[in-house]
Amino acid sequence: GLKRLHLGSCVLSMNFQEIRNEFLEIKGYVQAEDENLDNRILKSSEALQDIKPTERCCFFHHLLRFYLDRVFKNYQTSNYHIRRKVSSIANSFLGIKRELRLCHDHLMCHCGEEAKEKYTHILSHFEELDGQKAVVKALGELDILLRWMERT
Amino acid sequence: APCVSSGLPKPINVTFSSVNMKNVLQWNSPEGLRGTDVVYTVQYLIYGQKRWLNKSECRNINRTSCDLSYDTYDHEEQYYGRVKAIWGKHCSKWAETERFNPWLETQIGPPVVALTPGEKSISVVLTAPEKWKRNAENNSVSMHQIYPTLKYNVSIYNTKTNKKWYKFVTNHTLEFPQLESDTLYCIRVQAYVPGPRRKAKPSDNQCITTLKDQTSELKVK
Repeated sequence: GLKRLHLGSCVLSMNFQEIRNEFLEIKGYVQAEDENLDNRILKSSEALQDIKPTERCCFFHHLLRFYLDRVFKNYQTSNYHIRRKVSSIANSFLGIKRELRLCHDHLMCHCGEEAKEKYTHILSHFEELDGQKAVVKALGELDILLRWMERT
Repeated sequence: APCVSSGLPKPINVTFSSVNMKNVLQWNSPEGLRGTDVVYTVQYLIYGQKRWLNKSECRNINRTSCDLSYDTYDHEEQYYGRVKAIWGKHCSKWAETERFNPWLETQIGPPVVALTPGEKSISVVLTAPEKWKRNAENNSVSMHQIYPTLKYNVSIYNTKTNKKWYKFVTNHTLEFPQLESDTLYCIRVQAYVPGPRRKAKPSDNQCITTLKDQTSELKVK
Protein backbone atom coordinates (compact mmCIF):
# COMPACT_ATOMS: atom_id res chain seq x y z
CA GLY A 1 0.00 0.00 0.00
CA LEU A 2 3.07 2.31 0.15
CA LYS A 3 3.12 5.01 -2.51
CA ARG A 4 5.63 7.75 -3.28
CA LEU A 5 4.84 11.40 -2.83
CA HIS A 6 6.95 13.53 -5.17
CA LEU A 7 7.54 17.00 -3.71
CA GLY A 8 10.28 18.28 -5.99
CA SER A 9 13.56 16.71 -4.89
CA CYS A 10 11.90 15.55 -1.68
CA VAL A 11 10.32 12.13 -2.12
CA LEU A 12 8.32 10.57 0.71
CA SER A 13 6.65 7.20 0.89
CA MET A 14 3.36 6.89 2.67
CA ASN A 15 0.49 4.47 3.06
CA PHE A 16 -2.25 6.20 1.07
CA GLN A 17 -4.51 3.18 1.21
CA GLU A 18 -4.53 3.02 4.99
CA ILE A 19 -5.29 6.73 5.41
CA ARG A 20 -7.91 6.63 2.66
CA ASN A 21 -9.63 3.59 4.19
CA GLU A 22 -9.74 5.37 7.56
CA PHE A 23 -11.21 8.45 5.90
CA LEU A 24 -13.82 6.39 4.05
CA GLU A 25 -15.09 5.23 7.43
CA ILE A 26 -15.82 8.80 8.53
CA LYS A 27 -16.56 10.40 5.12
CA GLY A 28 -20.36 10.03 5.20
CA TYR A 29 -20.61 11.24 8.80
CA VAL A 30 -18.27 14.22 8.53
CA GLN A 31 -19.41 15.41 5.09
CA ALA A 32 -23.04 15.22 6.27
CA GLU A 33 -22.10 17.64 9.07
CA ASP A 34 -20.92 20.15 6.46
CA GLU A 35 -23.96 22.19 5.47
CA ASN A 36 -22.09 24.79 3.42
CA LEU A 37 -22.04 23.00 0.08
CA ASP A 38 -21.49 26.18 -1.85
CA ASN A 39 -17.94 26.79 -0.81
CA ARG A 40 -14.78 24.81 -0.56
CA ILE A 41 -11.48 25.18 1.29
CA LEU A 42 -9.18 23.09 -0.93
CA LYS A 43 -9.99 24.61 -4.32
CA SER A 44 -8.60 23.29 -7.59
CA SER A 45 -6.85 26.63 -8.14
CA GLU A 46 -4.57 25.81 -5.22
CA ALA A 47 -3.99 22.14 -6.05
CA LEU A 48 -0.73 20.72 -4.71
CA GLN A 49 0.16 18.96 -7.95
CA ASP A 50 -0.05 22.20 -9.93
CA ILE A 51 2.47 24.09 -7.81
CA LYS A 52 5.96 24.25 -9.23
CA PRO A 53 7.92 21.22 -7.97
CA THR A 54 10.55 23.27 -6.15
CA GLU A 55 7.91 24.76 -3.84
CA ARG A 56 5.73 21.68 -3.40
CA CYS A 57 7.49 20.49 -0.27
CA CYS A 58 7.01 23.82 1.49
CA PHE A 59 3.36 24.06 0.46
CA PHE A 60 2.73 20.51 1.60
CA HIS A 61 4.46 21.26 4.90
CA HIS A 62 2.04 24.15 5.40
CA LEU A 63 -0.92 21.89 4.59
CA LEU A 64 0.27 19.24 7.04
CA ARG A 65 0.67 21.77 9.85
CA PHE A 66 -2.74 23.27 8.96
CA TYR A 67 -4.46 19.89 9.31
CA LEU A 68 -2.55 18.94 12.46
CA ASP A 69 -2.86 22.27 14.29
CA ARG A 70 -6.16 23.69 13.02
CA VAL A 71 -8.29 20.74 11.95
CA PHE A 72 -7.59 17.44 13.74
CA LYS A 73 -6.86 19.21 17.03
CA ASN A 74 -10.09 21.22 16.97
CA TYR A 75 -12.54 18.70 15.58
CA GLN A 76 -15.24 17.95 18.15
CA THR A 77 -17.67 15.05 18.06
CA SER A 78 -19.52 12.99 20.60
CA ASN A 79 -19.08 9.93 18.38
CA TYR A 80 -16.29 7.84 19.89
CA HIS A 81 -15.67 5.80 16.71
CA ILE A 82 -15.29 8.94 14.59
CA ARG A 83 -13.00 10.51 17.18
CA ARG A 84 -10.76 7.42 17.17
CA LYS A 85 -10.56 7.43 13.37
CA VAL A 86 -9.68 11.13 13.25
CA SER A 87 -6.87 10.67 15.77
CA SER A 88 -5.58 7.68 13.80
CA ILE A 89 -5.45 9.80 10.65
CA ALA A 90 -3.76 12.57 12.65
CA ASN A 91 -1.09 10.11 13.79
CA SER A 92 -0.46 9.13 10.17
CA PHE A 93 -0.04 12.82 9.31
CA LEU A 94 2.41 13.20 12.21
CA GLY A 95 4.45 10.35 10.75
CA ILE A 96 4.51 12.07 7.37
CA LYS A 97 5.54 15.34 9.05
CA ARG A 98 8.48 13.57 10.73
CA GLU A 99 9.61 12.22 7.36
CA LEU A 100 9.24 15.68 5.85
CA ARG A 101 11.67 17.03 8.48
CA LEU A 102 14.45 15.08 6.75
CA CYS A 103 13.79 16.96 3.54
CA HIS A 104 13.71 20.20 5.53
CA ASP A 105 17.07 19.40 7.08
CA HIS A 106 18.53 18.71 3.64
CA LEU A 107 17.29 22.06 2.34
CA MET A 108 14.85 20.48 -0.09
CA CYS A 109 11.88 22.41 1.23
CA HIS A 110 12.32 25.87 -0.25
CA CYS A 111 9.48 28.31 0.49
CA GLY A 112 8.83 30.75 -2.31
CA GLU A 113 6.10 33.21 -3.21
CA GLU A 114 3.83 30.68 -4.88
CA ALA A 115 3.67 28.34 -1.91
CA LYS A 116 3.10 31.23 0.49
CA GLU A 117 0.40 32.79 -1.71
CA LYS A 118 -1.51 29.57 -2.29
CA TYR A 119 -1.41 28.60 1.36
CA THR A 120 -2.70 32.08 2.26
CA HIS A 121 -5.66 31.52 -0.09
CA ILE A 122 -6.48 28.23 1.58
CA LEU A 123 -6.29 29.82 5.00
CA SER A 124 -8.62 32.61 3.92
CA HIS A 125 -11.17 30.10 2.58
CA PHE A 126 -10.94 28.36 5.96
CA GLU A 127 -11.30 31.56 7.95
CA GLU A 128 -14.33 32.68 5.95
CA LEU A 129 -16.27 30.09 7.90
CA ASP A 130 -16.45 30.23 11.63
CA GLY A 131 -15.07 27.78 14.12
CA GLN A 132 -16.32 24.26 13.99
CA LYS A 133 -17.98 24.75 10.57
CA ALA A 134 -14.58 25.42 9.03
CA VAL A 135 -13.00 22.49 10.87
CA VAL A 136 -15.76 20.12 9.71
CA LYS A 137 -15.46 21.30 6.10
CA ALA A 138 -11.67 20.90 6.06
CA LEU A 139 -11.95 17.43 7.56
CA GLY A 140 -14.57 16.46 4.97
CA GLU A 141 -12.18 17.55 2.22
CA LEU A 142 -9.44 15.12 3.21
CA ASP A 143 -10.22 13.04 0.13
CA ILE A 144 -9.39 16.09 -1.99
CA LEU A 145 -6.04 16.46 -0.21
CA LEU A 146 -5.27 12.75 -0.57
CA ARG A 147 -6.06 12.94 -4.27
CA TRP A 148 -3.73 15.96 -4.66
CA MET A 149 -0.98 14.05 -2.90
CA GLU A 150 -1.50 11.06 -5.15
CA ARG A 151 -1.31 13.17 -8.28
CA THR A 152 2.06 14.75 -7.45
CA ALA B 1 -46.88 27.52 -11.91
CA PRO B 2 -44.42 26.52 -9.22
CA CYS B 3 -45.65 23.80 -6.95
CA VAL B 4 -46.51 24.37 -3.32
CA SER B 5 -44.04 22.81 -0.91
CA SER B 6 -46.47 20.88 1.24
CA GLY B 7 -46.24 17.80 3.42
CA LEU B 8 -45.66 15.53 0.43
CA PRO B 9 -43.13 12.90 1.49
CA LYS B 10 -39.65 13.15 -0.03
CA PRO B 11 -38.16 10.53 -2.39
CA ILE B 12 -35.97 8.07 -0.46
CA ASN B 13 -32.60 6.34 -0.92
CA VAL B 14 -31.26 9.01 -3.27
CA THR B 15 -27.85 7.80 -4.45
CA PHE B 16 -25.48 7.83 -7.40
CA SER B 17 -24.99 4.56 -9.21
CA SER B 18 -21.71 4.75 -11.11
CA VAL B 19 -19.93 2.32 -13.43
CA ASN B 20 -16.88 3.51 -15.43
CA MET B 21 -17.93 7.08 -14.57
CA LYS B 22 -21.40 6.70 -16.03
CA ASN B 23 -23.08 8.42 -13.12
CA VAL B 24 -26.82 7.87 -12.70
CA LEU B 25 -28.86 9.44 -9.93
CA GLN B 26 -31.46 6.99 -8.62
CA TRP B 27 -34.08 7.00 -5.89
CA ASN B 28 -37.14 5.24 -4.59
CA SER B 29 -40.59 6.78 -4.70
CA PRO B 30 -41.73 8.14 -1.36
CA GLU B 31 -43.79 6.03 0.98
CA GLY B 32 -47.49 6.21 0.22
CA LEU B 33 -47.11 7.63 -3.29
CA ARG B 34 -46.24 4.45 -5.11
CA GLY B 35 -48.50 3.76 -8.07
CA THR B 36 -49.81 7.32 -8.19
CA ASP B 37 -48.97 9.75 -11.01
CA VAL B 38 -46.23 11.42 -9.01
CA VAL B 39 -43.42 13.01 -11.06
CA TYR B 40 -39.92 14.12 -10.11
CA THR B 41 -37.53 16.98 -10.78
CA VAL B 42 -33.77 16.73 -10.43
CA GLN B 43 -30.99 19.22 -9.69
CA TYR B 44 -27.27 18.79 -9.15
CA LEU B 45 -24.49 20.81 -7.52
CA ILE B 46 -20.76 20.86 -8.11
CA TYR B 47 -19.36 20.88 -4.61
CA GLY B 48 -18.05 24.35 -3.73
CA GLN B 49 -20.04 26.16 -6.41
CA LYS B 50 -22.78 28.56 -5.55
CA ARG B 51 -25.89 27.33 -7.36
CA TRP B 52 -27.83 24.14 -7.76
CA LEU B 53 -28.30 23.50 -11.48
CA ASN B 54 -31.42 22.15 -13.17
CA LYS B 55 -31.23 19.01 -15.24
CA SER B 56 -33.71 19.89 -17.95
CA GLU B 57 -34.03 16.31 -19.22
CA CYS B 58 -35.15 15.29 -15.74
CA ARG B 59 -37.88 17.83 -15.08
CA ASN B 60 -41.32 16.36 -14.25
CA ILE B 61 -40.27 12.81 -15.12
CA ASN B 62 -42.09 9.72 -13.84
CA ARG B 63 -39.09 7.37 -13.82
CA THR B 64 -36.93 7.12 -10.70
CA SER B 65 -33.50 7.66 -12.24
CA CYS B 66 -31.68 10.42 -14.08
CA ASP B 67 -28.41 10.12 -16.00
CA LEU B 68 -26.09 12.89 -14.78
CA SER B 69 -22.96 11.53 -16.48
CA TYR B 70 -22.63 14.56 -18.75
CA ASP B 71 -22.90 16.97 -15.86
CA THR B 72 -20.55 15.07 -13.57
CA TYR B 73 -17.95 14.28 -16.25
CA ASP B 74 -14.97 15.84 -14.45
CA HIS B 75 -14.09 12.97 -12.15
CA GLU B 76 -11.75 15.16 -10.09
CA GLU B 77 -14.68 17.26 -8.86
CA GLN B 78 -17.28 16.22 -6.31
CA TYR B 79 -21.04 16.49 -6.63
CA TYR B 80 -24.42 16.38 -4.98
CA GLY B 81 -27.68 15.35 -6.60
CA ARG B 82 -31.15 16.08 -5.28
CA VAL B 83 -34.72 15.24 -6.33
CA LYS B 84 -38.18 16.28 -5.25
CA ALA B 85 -41.58 14.66 -5.79
CA ILE B 86 -44.40 16.60 -7.45
CA TRP B 87 -48.04 15.54 -7.30
CA GLY B 88 -50.49 17.91 -8.89
CA LYS B 89 -49.85 21.31 -7.29
CA HIS B 90 -47.98 19.87 -4.31
CA CYS B 91 -44.30 19.08 -4.05
CA SER B 92 -42.03 17.58 -1.45
CA LYS B 93 -38.87 19.01 0.00
CA TRP B 94 -35.62 18.11 -1.76
CA ALA B 95 -34.00 14.79 -0.97
CA GLU B 96 -30.22 14.92 -1.37
CA THR B 97 -27.38 12.47 -1.96
CA GLU B 98 -24.24 12.29 0.11
CA ARG B 99 -21.23 14.03 -1.44
CA PHE B 100 -20.37 11.98 -4.51
CA ASN B 101 -16.70 11.54 -5.47
CA PRO B 102 -16.62 9.79 -8.88
CA TRP B 103 -12.92 9.02 -8.76
CA LEU B 104 -13.30 7.33 -5.38
CA GLU B 105 -16.67 5.69 -5.85
CA THR B 106 -17.17 4.62 -9.45
CA GLN B 107 -17.42 0.87 -10.02
CA ILE B 108 -14.91 -0.59 -12.47
CA GLY B 109 -16.66 -2.39 -15.29
CA PRO B 110 -15.39 -5.64 -16.85
CA PRO B 111 -12.59 -5.58 -19.45
CA VAL B 112 -13.04 -6.88 -23.00
CA VAL B 113 -11.71 -10.45 -23.05
CA ALA B 114 -10.32 -12.18 -26.19
CA LEU B 115 -9.43 -15.88 -25.94
CA THR B 116 -7.27 -17.95 -28.30
CA PRO B 117 -7.11 -21.69 -27.72
CA GLY B 118 -4.00 -23.82 -28.21
CA GLU B 119 -3.66 -27.57 -27.81
CA LYS B 120 -2.72 -27.35 -24.14
CA SER B 121 -3.05 -23.63 -23.51
CA ILE B 122 -5.35 -20.64 -23.75
CA SER B 123 -4.07 -17.12 -24.50
CA VAL B 124 -6.02 -14.24 -23.01
CA VAL B 125 -5.90 -10.64 -24.24
CA LEU B 126 -7.59 -8.03 -22.04
CA THR B 127 -8.70 -4.52 -23.01
CA ALA B 128 -9.34 -2.19 -20.10
CA PRO B 129 -12.86 -0.77 -19.80
CA GLU B 130 -13.40 2.76 -21.07
CA LYS B 131 -14.61 5.80 -19.21
CA TRP B 132 -18.15 6.87 -20.18
CA LYS B 133 -17.96 9.21 -23.20
CA ARG B 134 -19.89 12.42 -23.71
CA ASN B 135 -20.04 11.86 -27.47
CA ALA B 136 -19.42 8.72 -29.47
CA GLU B 137 -16.86 10.62 -31.60
CA ASN B 138 -14.80 11.73 -28.61
CA ASN B 139 -11.52 9.98 -27.97
CA SER B 140 -11.83 7.10 -25.58
CA VAL B 141 -10.27 7.41 -22.14
CA SER B 142 -9.25 4.07 -20.75
CA MET B 143 -9.97 3.43 -17.08
CA HIS B 144 -6.33 2.32 -16.98
CA GLN B 145 -5.27 5.90 -17.65
CA ILE B 146 -7.38 7.09 -14.72
CA TYR B 147 -6.27 4.24 -12.44
CA PRO B 148 -2.66 3.33 -13.33
CA THR B 149 -2.73 0.59 -10.65
CA LEU B 150 -5.66 -1.18 -12.35
CA LYS B 151 -5.27 -4.97 -12.06
CA TYR B 152 -7.15 -8.04 -13.25
CA ASN B 153 -8.34 -11.09 -11.38
CA VAL B 154 -8.59 -13.81 -14.05
CA SER B 155 -10.32 -17.06 -13.08
CA ILE B 156 -10.33 -20.22 -15.23
CA TYR B 157 -12.58 -23.22 -14.72
CA ASN B 158 -12.14 -26.72 -16.20
CA THR B 159 -15.70 -27.89 -16.97
CA LYS B 160 -14.54 -31.56 -16.99
CA THR B 161 -12.81 -31.64 -13.63
CA ASN B 162 -14.63 -28.65 -12.04
CA LYS B 163 -11.21 -27.39 -11.04
CA LYS B 164 -10.92 -23.58 -10.81
CA TRP B 165 -7.87 -21.37 -10.30
CA TYR B 166 -6.93 -17.71 -10.48
CA LYS B 167 -4.25 -15.37 -11.76
CA PHE B 168 -3.80 -11.76 -10.65
CA VAL B 169 -2.15 -9.74 -13.43
CA THR B 170 -1.44 -6.16 -14.32
CA ASN B 171 -0.51 -6.54 -17.99
CA HIS B 172 -3.05 -7.11 -20.70
CA THR B 173 -1.89 -10.45 -22.08
CA LEU B 174 -1.48 -13.74 -20.28
CA GLU B 175 -1.51 -17.43 -21.03
CA PHE B 176 -2.83 -20.44 -19.18
CA PRO B 177 -0.39 -23.27 -20.03
CA GLN B 178 -0.47 -26.98 -19.10
CA LEU B 179 -4.17 -27.42 -19.87
CA GLU B 180 -5.90 -30.52 -21.16
CA SER B 181 -6.49 -30.73 -24.89
CA ASP B 182 -9.99 -30.91 -26.34
CA THR B 183 -11.50 -29.61 -23.10
CA LEU B 184 -13.99 -26.84 -22.47
CA TYR B 185 -12.66 -24.11 -20.17
CA CYS B 186 -14.58 -21.05 -18.90
CA ILE B 187 -12.82 -17.79 -18.07
CA ARG B 188 -14.08 -14.79 -16.13
CA VAL B 189 -12.16 -11.54 -15.56
CA GLN B 190 -12.66 -8.78 -13.01
CA ALA B 191 -10.83 -5.46 -13.25
CA TYR B 192 -10.10 -3.87 -9.90
CA VAL B 193 -8.12 -1.04 -8.35
CA PRO B 194 -6.23 -1.89 -5.14
CA GLY B 195 -7.33 0.47 -2.42
CA PRO B 196 -10.61 1.61 -1.02
CA ARG B 197 -13.44 -0.86 -1.15
CA ARG B 198 -14.33 -0.06 -4.76
CA LYS B 199 -16.89 -2.36 -6.26
CA ALA B 200 -16.06 -4.09 -9.54
CA LYS B 201 -18.21 -5.93 -12.06
CA PRO B 202 -16.77 -9.21 -13.34
CA SER B 203 -17.03 -10.08 -17.03
CA ASP B 204 -19.48 -12.74 -18.12
CA ASN B 205 -18.16 -16.28 -18.28
CA GLN B 206 -16.49 -16.91 -21.65
CA CYS B 207 -15.95 -20.56 -22.58
CA ILE B 208 -13.66 -22.08 -25.19
CA THR B 209 -12.44 -25.56 -26.06
CA THR B 210 -8.73 -26.31 -26.33
CA LEU B 211 -7.63 -27.88 -29.62
CA LYS B 212 -7.46 -31.63 -30.17
CA ASP B 213 -4.05 -33.20 -29.43
CA GLN B 214 -2.51 -33.42 -32.96
CA THR B 215 0.03 -36.16 -32.00
CA SER B 216 -2.64 -38.64 -30.88
CA GLU B 217 -4.62 -37.80 -34.04
CA LEU B 218 -1.62 -38.74 -36.22
CA LYS B 219 -1.13 -42.07 -34.37
CA VAL B 220 -4.76 -42.99 -35.04
CA LYS B 221 -4.40 -42.52 -38.79
